[in-house]
Amino acid sequence: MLKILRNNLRAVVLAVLVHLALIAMLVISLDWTPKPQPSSAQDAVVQATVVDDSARKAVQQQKEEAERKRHAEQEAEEQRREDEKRQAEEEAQRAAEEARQQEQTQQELARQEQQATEQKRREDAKREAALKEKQAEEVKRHTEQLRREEEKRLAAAEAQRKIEAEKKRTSEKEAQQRKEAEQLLKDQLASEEQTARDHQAQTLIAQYIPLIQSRVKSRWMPPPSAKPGMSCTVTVRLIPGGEVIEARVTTSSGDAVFDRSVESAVYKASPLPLPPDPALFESFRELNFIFKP
Amino acid sequence: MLTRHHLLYCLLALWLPCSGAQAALTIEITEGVPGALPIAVVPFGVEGQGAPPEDIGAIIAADLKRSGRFAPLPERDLLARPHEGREVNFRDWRVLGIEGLVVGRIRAMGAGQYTVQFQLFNVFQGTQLIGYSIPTSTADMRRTAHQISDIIYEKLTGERGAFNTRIAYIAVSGKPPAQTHSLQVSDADGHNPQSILNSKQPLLSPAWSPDGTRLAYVTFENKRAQIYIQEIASGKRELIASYPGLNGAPAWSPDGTRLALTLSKDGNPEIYVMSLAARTLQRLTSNLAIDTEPVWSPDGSALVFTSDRGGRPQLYRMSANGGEAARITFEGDYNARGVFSPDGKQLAMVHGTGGQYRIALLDLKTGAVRVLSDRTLDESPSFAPNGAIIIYATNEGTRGTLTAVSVDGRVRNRLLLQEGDVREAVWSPFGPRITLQTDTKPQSSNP
Amino acid sequence: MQFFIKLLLLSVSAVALAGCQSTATKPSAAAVEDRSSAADGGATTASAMDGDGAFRGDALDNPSSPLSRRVIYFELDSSEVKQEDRATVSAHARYLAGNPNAAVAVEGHADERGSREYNLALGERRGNAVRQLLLAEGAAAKQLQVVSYGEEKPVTLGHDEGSWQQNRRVEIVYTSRR
Repeated sequence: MLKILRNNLRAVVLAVLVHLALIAMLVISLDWTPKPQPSSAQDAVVQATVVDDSARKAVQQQKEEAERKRHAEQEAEEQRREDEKRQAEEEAQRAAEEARQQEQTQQELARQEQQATEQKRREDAKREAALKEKQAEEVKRHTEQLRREEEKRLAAAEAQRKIEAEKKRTSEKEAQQRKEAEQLLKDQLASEEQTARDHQAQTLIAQYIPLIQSRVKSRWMPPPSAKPGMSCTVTVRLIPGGEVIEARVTTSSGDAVFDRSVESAVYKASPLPLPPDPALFESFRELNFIFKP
Repeated sequence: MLTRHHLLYCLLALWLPCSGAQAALTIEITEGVPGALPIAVVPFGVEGQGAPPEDIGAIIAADLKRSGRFAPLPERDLLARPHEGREVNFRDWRVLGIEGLVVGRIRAMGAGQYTVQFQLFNVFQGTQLIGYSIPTSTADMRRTAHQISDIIYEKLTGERGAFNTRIAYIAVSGKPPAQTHSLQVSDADGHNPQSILNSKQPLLSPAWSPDGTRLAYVTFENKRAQIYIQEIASGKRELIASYPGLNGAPAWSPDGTRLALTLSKDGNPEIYVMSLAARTLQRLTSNLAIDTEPVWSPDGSALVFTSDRGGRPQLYRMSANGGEAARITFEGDYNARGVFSPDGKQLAMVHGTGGQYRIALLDLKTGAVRVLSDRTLDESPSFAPNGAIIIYATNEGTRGTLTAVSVDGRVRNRLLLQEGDVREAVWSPFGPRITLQTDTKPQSSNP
Repeated sequence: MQFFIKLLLLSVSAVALAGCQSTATKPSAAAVEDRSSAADGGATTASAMDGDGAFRGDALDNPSSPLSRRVIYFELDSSEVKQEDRATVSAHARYLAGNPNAAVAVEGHADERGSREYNLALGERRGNAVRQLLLAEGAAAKQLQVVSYGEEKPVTLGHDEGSWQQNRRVEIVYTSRR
């Protein structure tokens, strides 16, 4: 530090002198100010009172209060109606449950009766069966023979059926493969169409950006204090149709007049031009504008 | 079991682009359009006995319009006439594209005393920007209106307003050789003219002292050009320069301690600087040409003057201590009577081409010349102290009149002064800054 | 005789003017009195012609003498005395040379175009040009006083070339004759 001072001694001395001279001039020049004329002194200070906005705000608040209360009442009413509905439903459910239970017990009784009669029948059947057994032995021998012949026949038929089943399966497989191939194509087409639609949506969205830009540009009157390098970001909320319902400065430029000019531009440009397809509105619900002169 | 179907569907699900939640679209705006801010000034409501002596709303609207920065809605297009915040329905004004709304009322307190209340609203946000209640009187009512214009102008543009200021000018009546010359001071809008000096001989080149209390001028009352400085309030004056030959073009230094002037006592017109305290002269130019009309740069470091050392009159710049002078005007055949804008970046001048003499602006950085006036014999430009408006003299048929033009050239008004020839108007500096002393509790707008 | 008349007129006007105050006052109108001598050059007396038409009386009042021409005109932005005016200037120079107590005010003017202060300087330059010629042709410096009025005292108020031409002039005004 001292070294620098020493090296630039001349500069330092001059600087100090200049400062002294300035101070001297200030001190001297103070004496030069002529005494203010009585009328101009009156000009300088004007007694005034601030008029604030509280009355209007109060009225505004009252309106909002009333609005809110009405909403609350509406909601309460709706809630009440909902509760009533639910209660009625529960009632109906309970009645249905009761009815079902009654039916069940009745069914139970019926079943028990059935079981008793069944038991009796089984004992009768046993007696008969013993008789029949003897008869059956005779028949068995006869039928055995028949059965062997039948088996032979069945085996042959089974073989035949297997062959046919095999044929059917292969043809089914082929049909299935064909169907799968078709489905693949269909799915591919479907996805391509979706991509195309999305591209179209993006293109449409992109087409509307310059429209919005030019509309806002034609309504923005930057103040003379606007300089390159300044930047102000406004977040804007829209409703379908493009009307601006809110504009908020999210990044100030540091100049209140510039910020105000930007807010005004966006409001004056309302309604903004939007694509007519309501499905695309979501992309435009909230927009950020960056104003950079 | 996992069939090919299932695999396929999974893959497809991955292919479908994600069209769900996105970040909000960001749009850049890089330029706008020039224009005047649309505002509405509703005629002020009146309470109490009698009609107030001035239409304050009309004065405010005219002031703001004259600056070129505002486009007040014509009175016939007003959809509603609120007088205070409670009565304002912002939707009425938004549909008209109005950005700022001024409402107010005047209450007569008796014995020529009044209370003026006004409020300024930001229409799109629906909020009050500023509001005051100011006591005034019959005599002061126009001044109060101009003060309100200044407050509104400053709030909406960020720049200081220059409506509560004055102009000095020369008025001539009668025909030669029996003419009366009068040095007058009026409000900046031409109202309330007062005569400071009357003479049968010509008066020229009035110049305001930087503190606005004195005027220097050239007078021929002794049959030759002499320079006097006169105190406006008292009328006291003293002779400053009466050298042999010409004494002309007085120009106050920005600190008020020196006067640059033109003297031809040493053979031909040259620029000199006189220290007002010591009455010593310092000669700054030395050549055989005419050097005249010196003006100081706002920082006091340089002087611009008119010289025909190159043949015909052009503007030159030199240091306030003299030395080398550099030519700064290269367009047109004739450039004279330069005046600095308050920010020091431009000069207004009389610019002659092909026999037409117009007021033009010279950008000191780029050298670009922009013509501002549109007649053929325009002269004597002067800037408002905030640089927003220029007044100049022009010939309207047989009469000389004063015209005010916004510095971007878009709004032009003729200042209607009294009968006779009006010329050489100079705008006063800012008055002392008005401080609104609010030591009482703020009141909400009254019912 | 003429000197006496001049003196009488002087004292009468001085007495009249003494009655009026001449200070500039507060923002109400201030009147500045014309403090110059009201009699400049005096009233011209009727010229007397004798029988054979020869002019008798002061040469300055002879309508056929070049001395009767007192105004010299100039081109735009120029202070050059035109050739045709040289004779007039010479005549005045010779008269001044021959009448050492005579004196003139050489009044320079300009037309209204351009800025006022520059025109004030231009008027002076024109006056000086005529003064130089007068000096060169025999007048003495103390007899010559250059005053410029710039564009402030036009003879005609028109805004056309004809009017402007009439206003671009130097007037030779005798403040004393002999």
